[in-house]
Amino acid sequence: MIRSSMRPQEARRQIWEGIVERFKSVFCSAAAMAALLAFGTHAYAGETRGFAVTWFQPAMYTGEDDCPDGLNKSPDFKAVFAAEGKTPEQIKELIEHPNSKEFAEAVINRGPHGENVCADPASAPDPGQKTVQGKIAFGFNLDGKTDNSSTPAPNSCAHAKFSSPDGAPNVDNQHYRALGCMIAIRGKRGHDGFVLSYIMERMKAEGLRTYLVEVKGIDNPKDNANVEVGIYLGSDPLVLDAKGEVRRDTTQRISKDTRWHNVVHGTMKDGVITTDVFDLNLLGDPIWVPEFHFKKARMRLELQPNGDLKGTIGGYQDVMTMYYNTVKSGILFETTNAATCPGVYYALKHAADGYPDAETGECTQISTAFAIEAIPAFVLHQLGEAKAKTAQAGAAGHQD
Amino acid sequence: MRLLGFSAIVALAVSIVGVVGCGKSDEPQSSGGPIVVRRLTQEQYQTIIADIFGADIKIGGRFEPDLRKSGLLAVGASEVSVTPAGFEQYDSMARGAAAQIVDERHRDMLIGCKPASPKAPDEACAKSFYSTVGRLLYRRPLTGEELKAQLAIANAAATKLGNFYTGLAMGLTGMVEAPQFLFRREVAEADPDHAGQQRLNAFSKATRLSFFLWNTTPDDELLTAAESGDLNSSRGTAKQVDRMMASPRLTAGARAFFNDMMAFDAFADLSKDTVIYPKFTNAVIADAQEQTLRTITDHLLAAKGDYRDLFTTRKTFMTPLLGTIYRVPVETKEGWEAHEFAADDPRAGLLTQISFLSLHSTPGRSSPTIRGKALREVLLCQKVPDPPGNVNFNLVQDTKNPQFRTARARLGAHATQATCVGCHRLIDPMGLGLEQFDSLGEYRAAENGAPIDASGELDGVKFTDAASLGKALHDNPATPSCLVNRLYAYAAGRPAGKGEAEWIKYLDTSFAANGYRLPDLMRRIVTSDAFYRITAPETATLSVNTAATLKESAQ
Repeated sequence: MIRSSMRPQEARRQIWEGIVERFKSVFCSAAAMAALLAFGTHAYAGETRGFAVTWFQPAMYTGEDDCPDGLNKSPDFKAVFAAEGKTPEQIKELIEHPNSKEFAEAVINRGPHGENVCADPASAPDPGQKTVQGKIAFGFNLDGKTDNSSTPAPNSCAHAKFSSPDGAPNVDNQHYRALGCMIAIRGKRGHDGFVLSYIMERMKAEGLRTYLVEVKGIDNPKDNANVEVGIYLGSDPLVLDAKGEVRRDTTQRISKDTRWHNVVHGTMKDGVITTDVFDLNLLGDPIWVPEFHFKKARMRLELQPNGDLKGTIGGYQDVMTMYYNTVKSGILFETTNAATCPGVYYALKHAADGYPDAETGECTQISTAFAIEAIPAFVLHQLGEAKAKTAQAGAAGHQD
Repeated sequence: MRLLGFSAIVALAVSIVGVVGCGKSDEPQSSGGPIVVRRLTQEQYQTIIADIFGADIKIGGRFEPDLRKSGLLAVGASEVSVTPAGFEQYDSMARGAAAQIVDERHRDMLIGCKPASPKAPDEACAKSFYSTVGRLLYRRPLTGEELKAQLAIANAAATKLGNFYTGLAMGLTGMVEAPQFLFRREVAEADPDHAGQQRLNAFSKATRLSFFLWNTTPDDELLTAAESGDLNSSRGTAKQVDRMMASPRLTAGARAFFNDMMAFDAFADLSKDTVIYPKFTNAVIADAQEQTLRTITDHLLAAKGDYRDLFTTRKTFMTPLLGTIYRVPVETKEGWEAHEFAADDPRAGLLTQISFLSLHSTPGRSSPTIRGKALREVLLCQKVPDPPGNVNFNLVQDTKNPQFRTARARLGAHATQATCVGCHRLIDPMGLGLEQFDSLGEYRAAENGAPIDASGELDGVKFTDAASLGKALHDNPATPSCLVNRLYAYAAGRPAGKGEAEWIKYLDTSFAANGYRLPDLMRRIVTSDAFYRITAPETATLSVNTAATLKESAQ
């Protein structure tokens, strides 16, 4: 929608983008129809493999040069209390009782007028969160920009690009840039910081949420011009094995709620699946993230020799949603994550790089990359399907 | 048209005789065997209490360990006693059960009468109760002396404690821990139809019938048939057999037999290295046993299938948990669903089920030797000698030796030792046929990167994999013959003796003639004279041995 108050230049840009989008839509529909005709109704004939997702968290690269200014820290509680006008005795009392309600309130309600700085971070000044200075990040080139000019890509905000760990240039992952210097989400594999691990362990142990992946059309173990990748909300909780890991080869049903069904075309080359661009919507978990909405999403998934699936999902996500998802535990976030709510807020706002607001020009979305890992499972769309399914999970068996 | 061979004619004749039901005339002579005294198994004890008093009467405590003899716990049960420590457990269980039976929740439903005063003895009510449940517990009516003794206990206790129900419970405790309940003591009597020969008396016959077909104590109708003397006639026996075999409880009887034959009691001690086999849990153990028992009873009883087909059938049942190990989709979220493996699936028959594969493996690796030995001993009734004490197993156990990447290679090197060759030749080839399944029973195509060769030979019949091993077992004459031997030994509580050789051979023949159908074999055993023939010279001396005396003394 073009608002009347929009500047002419911006309006023209949006009109042009609208035309391009419509052309793409028509062209892609035609291309899809042509592809369908070319491949017949069995465009995805071939093996189908199902997977249950065991890891789905922000992909945070951890290298030695990421944070030359050091890592972020929790608020200086004594300074906060002093600035609030507390007496030395009161400060001593609060510091000695860090789990008390009084301590939490004194820390969180530190806005200039007693505002809760996690709920209303803009009320506080920018404390200057330390952000990533490194050159490497997981993710994708989401805005399509490949040159080194300072001019941002259309529908984007200016930002520096990363390279991927395997050398691919022009990676957009401003979410990592904003939050990558927080100790809580840095880990040795790039995506297993202790907070993220804690979240996933609880998700698995308590069966909070199940995501399923299905890859159709695997004619060849390495190369397939056309595969279909589905990522779905599951309706059955994950089951753990004797080691406390998610049990392999379980049967999992896809949720009937089609809002959380995401299907996209992809290609497989040398065992790596790369999908087309799509919008990814997933119901989140009851504790941390209510919903995921990735815009201009894409996936890169690699089939592992043991039958597992590993990869990355990239896309833009709403910056304020990302903020509230990050700091929603308030005082607990600030103390355990070694960061501050306003620091996270301003860092995310400054780093946001997609979908500029038509009025302010500020980007409302931020480029993200999530690591995904999944193990073999039988994914059922409907009852009665099992009988017709071939042994899709780990058909080659394992080796002792 | 081909002429029928002699054996086919015999089989046909036997079959016709079986169908028309005039079987006894063609039965070969059998010496019978000695009477046996069998201790109740844990399952039997629990089932009886549940049958008489209801499934909500909880039994807590540890039972005496069972003894496996001649491949069966049912035979071992004839050779075990009760230790002092074991008796303490029985006493504790009996007290617990009795207390529940007379508590306020159960008494009105289970006792069957109300005392004149709950605070004083009531001999009439106590007598009614003890007579009714005592007949079911002891599998015969109580003698006059037994009943008198029970009433004395109940009256004394009720008087002293001022509570009728507490007194009743004390007497009941004594009955539930009495040898008459814990041991199935068979009693012989002179056979009026065969001068000079002995047979089981009617109550012992009823007991054998009931435990064989239902794995529990005789019900009221069967005991009534014993009391009236009907059970001593062929017609009366056939009537009861028809009734019992038509009952769904026949499934419980068949399950108990196969549970014993397949040595599933060993699951209680089964463990796996969960680092190697993280899918192994206690729930898997339970499901694996149940899967096999369901497969067996569905095939043999519901579908009236050929026993040998159990080793080739692609049909079975799945739970979600088992589906993760078989790697097949299972739609039901709780309970069981039918499953049929595809014709080209590596799995076919009981040998490829998790119960057999996991039970006969070590905790950390599969073992062709253990599996081959089990196949010989459990399914073919052949005895394999134990290994000598000084064998060095290092080579076999080292699964990471790059020189010997598969079990076949390791065993090949191990079996070059002179002391090992003989036995390994007998058992390894069959065990190697199951090597495409690991210690848990999960399929694998290779071990340490080397493809697994699952070919071998069973008694001269070559096979290429587990499915064709199952076919070789199906076609092996020792397979149905083993079942006949085991089934008879299970029913009689002892292996068949030399004087019963012709009788067993006859059972083999009739089993074949009837298409290897278990119900027909069971029926032939329980409707025969041979099954109840007793060789021991013991005379029926006790007053409990005749129905007339029993009735009289119970009044």
